[in-house]
Amino acid sequence: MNQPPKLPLRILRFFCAEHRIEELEGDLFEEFQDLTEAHGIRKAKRIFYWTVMRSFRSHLFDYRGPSTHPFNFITMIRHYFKTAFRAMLRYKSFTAINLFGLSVGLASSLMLFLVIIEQLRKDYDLPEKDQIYRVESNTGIRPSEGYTDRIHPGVGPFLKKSLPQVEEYTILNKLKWDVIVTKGDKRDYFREEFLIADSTFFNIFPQTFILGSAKNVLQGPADIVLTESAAFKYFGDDNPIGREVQIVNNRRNRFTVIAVIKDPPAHASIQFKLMIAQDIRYDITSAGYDMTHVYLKLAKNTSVAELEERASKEISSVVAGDLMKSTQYRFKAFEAVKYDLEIPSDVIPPTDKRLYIIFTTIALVILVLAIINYINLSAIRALKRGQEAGIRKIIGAGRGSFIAQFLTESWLICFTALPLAILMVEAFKPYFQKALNTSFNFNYLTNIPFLLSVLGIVLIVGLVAGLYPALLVSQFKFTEFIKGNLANSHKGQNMRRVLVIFQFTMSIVLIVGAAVVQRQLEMFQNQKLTYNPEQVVVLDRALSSNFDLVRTDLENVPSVLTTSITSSPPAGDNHRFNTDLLKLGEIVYGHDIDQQYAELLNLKFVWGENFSPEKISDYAPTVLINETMAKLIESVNPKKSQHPLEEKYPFMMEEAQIQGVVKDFHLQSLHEKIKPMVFFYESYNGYNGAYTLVKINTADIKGTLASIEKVWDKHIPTSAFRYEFLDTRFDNLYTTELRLGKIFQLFTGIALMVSCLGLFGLVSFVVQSKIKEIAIRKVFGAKIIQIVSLFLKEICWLIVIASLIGLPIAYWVMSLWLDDFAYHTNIPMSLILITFLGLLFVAFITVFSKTLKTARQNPVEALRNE
Amino acid sequence: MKGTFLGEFEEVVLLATCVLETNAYANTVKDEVEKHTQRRINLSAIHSSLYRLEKKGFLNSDFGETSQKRGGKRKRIFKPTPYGLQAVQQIKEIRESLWGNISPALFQDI
Repeated sequence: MNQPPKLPLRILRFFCAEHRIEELEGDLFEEFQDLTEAHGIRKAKRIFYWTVMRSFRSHLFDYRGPSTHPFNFITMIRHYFKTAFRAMLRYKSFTAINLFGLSVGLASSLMLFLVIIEQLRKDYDLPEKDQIYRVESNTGIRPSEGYTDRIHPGVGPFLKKSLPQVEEYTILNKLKWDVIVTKGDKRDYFREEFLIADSTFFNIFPQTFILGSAKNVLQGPADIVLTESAAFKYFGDDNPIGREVQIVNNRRNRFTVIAVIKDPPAHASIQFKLMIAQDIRYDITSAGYDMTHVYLKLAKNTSVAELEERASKEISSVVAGDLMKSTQYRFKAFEAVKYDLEIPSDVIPPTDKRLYIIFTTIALVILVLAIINYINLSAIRALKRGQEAGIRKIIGAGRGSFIAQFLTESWLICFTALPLAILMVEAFKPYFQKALNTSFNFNYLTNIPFLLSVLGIVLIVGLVAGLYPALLVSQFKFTEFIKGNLANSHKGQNMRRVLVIFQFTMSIVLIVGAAVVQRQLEMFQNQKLTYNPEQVVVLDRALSSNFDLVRTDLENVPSVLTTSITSSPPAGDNHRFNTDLLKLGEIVYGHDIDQQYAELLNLKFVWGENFSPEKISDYAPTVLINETMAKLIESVNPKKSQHPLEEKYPFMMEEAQIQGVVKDFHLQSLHEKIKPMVFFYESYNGYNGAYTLVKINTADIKGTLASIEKVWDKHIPTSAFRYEFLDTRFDNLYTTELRLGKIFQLFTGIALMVSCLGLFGLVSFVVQSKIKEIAIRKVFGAKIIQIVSLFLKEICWLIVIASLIGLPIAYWVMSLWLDDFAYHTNIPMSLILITFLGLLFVAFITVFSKTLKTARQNPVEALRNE
Repeated sequence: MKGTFLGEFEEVVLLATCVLETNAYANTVKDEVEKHTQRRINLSAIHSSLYRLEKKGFLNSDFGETSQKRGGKRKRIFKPTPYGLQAVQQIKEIRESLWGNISPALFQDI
């Protein structure tokens, strides 16, 4: 007898329905013998292969009835699903807890991943963005000032001319200006973001032109490029080309629209509404220059470090003056600029990378908490379903079938949770966008790779969640199953305890984190200011000679208490100025103020007195300084004087006398230390542009603002009236922290809820499995409180251990975070104690609510139930 | 009635089982069909129509004896049911009545 090839037969046996295999195999075998006789073994084999291949027809898969066929997967899977559904329906509260926990976990991680993806997608369509660099400079004379991105504009063209690796440069500035559009006798004001650039901008950052083309725009100083939305806002559907646009506050003020481009997409880092050309001198040899931002596009595979060195050398060889000659240049990659908080760019507002790291961590923590819930509850429920498992084992179920059963169940729950999670994401997206002040433009529901990765994550989550219960159950011998209640078994108990401890540890870290962030935020908002920021209105900067009139008229408004005019109101820019002449070795900051500034901000004088307009003379200029500055002068004492504060110092061009020293007060975010400040007197001609501070009576804010606006419009009609309260200005300094606070609050709540749900589920199963024990105890006269405390004791231990682990971790992590602030709150013991007790309380409530019902039951009910 | 329709190949297979009487199993049916139709047929095609005919109720089947040539596996012997026999007879009658009405002159040109 000739043997037919083995492999096709084996495949056939694997797939074939059991009741068919014998006859089919026999027929094939017989045919093989016939064919060998007729055509020889080789052809017979060939035909054999072919026949087996052709045999895959419906009759082969005619699986019938209860079969033990190993590949009878359809039947088995049907069975898994059936039992999974039955179990889900039988333990409804368990299913609800699991489903809810997992959907919340998935939803929160989905949401946070969306935030991260939104960030990662920034500039994804910008060509060759890895070749774009920002030029930064550092003056060799004052290296402590660090690098800055506000540099000499001549650097751009010079580098392109002298270094072949520099393919392109562009010189940028971004400013907010008022735009005036005149239609007939109607004038409309708009506050817009301007990008001032030269025409090379489009070679590095291409834009889509709707009208006009990149070739001939930004050539003339009076050309203006509008974005689509701006063009529509100003001119409606009319053709904007050739129309006139006016700008307030600028030395050039009449522009002609020459082109319209598409709005920069939301994912572009550089956002603007209007573009005008640079009209400054690029001559690198001139020492006087306007501060600009210079971006370069370098050739592929350029060694940046080498180029930086050459650039510094080349520039230093042509420029004049020690300051310019000693300046070092470096290039920062475009990607790094987007996250650079040290040298925040005006053109590309940087984002805090740490925020995203924190997001990811929290998302993962919540997902892990939900998975732990699932694992714990499934494991203990699996033990309750021990008899089912026992019978399965008797029939011959192996480890694989247990694992398959549990995985089916967990995948079933996970994939039910996924649509719920997506619904939750959609429901909470608006809130989230508001809290984060971003918009999600990424349409994840139609993005196949994203959906596939989400499916992948869900598969992994299901795998992780289902594997432990499966392995736990398959460890038991079937006699153990049949004998009785496995839920009382100690097997896996320690594992469950560890998981619960882990959950509560995470919750503790999150709670303490949220509390500390909140405390720090409160400290920001209630920082010890000498004035009440809610009472001070800041009117936006304007150029006008009428400020004196504004000031006088405003003081006639009854609800206005004081006004002051200054170059830089609190919570805004600090003007740093040249300190070489002062010889103090530190950077000094200066503001222009008037005589009412000190009164308005309620500043205390520790020495000397305020400016008084009568005594001011141009021949003997005086200044005010703050305490920090006074201390600096006293410690350095550059004049080696007995009374350093009484000396004259070159604060301005000429030497000035110190008129008074004010107590230190916060002008900046609490990230920064109070700086040495000098205040110059400016009576306010207003040609440098000034802000008006108005301290008002908060009784009728609306009415007061209306009166202020009336005064403003009367005296400064060329500038739009725009105001802001000082407390909003301060809040703007802490946007990152405020967002962090909101996120923390929200997700701590979720995490705590998920953990408590898990605890609730766990306790309810333990209680159920001990129902007889409780009944017997009651029969012997145990009080309800004794029974409840039986369960409480166990939970109490878990929480104590979790606190012992979690509190130090939380303390350490939050101390690290707080170290970032120059002025920060502490982490008081009371907070830690409250966290611990609060958690204990929440856990007690959970346990109590579940056990009380059982403990109050008539013991007969439980004992009769056999 | 739907499902009782006999396809051309099925009809041939069914007739072959009638011819083979008690020795009709896949291999013999295949040989028989090949012999009469002069076509090369794959064994799996025979299997497929035999099982289908059985499902439709034209055939009955039972395990037959085994042999060494079959590697010790039993064969499945197929036998036409009365319903199957009636069906082939009916087909034959339909065809004959049609043939009776065809004028022989039509075939003169072949």
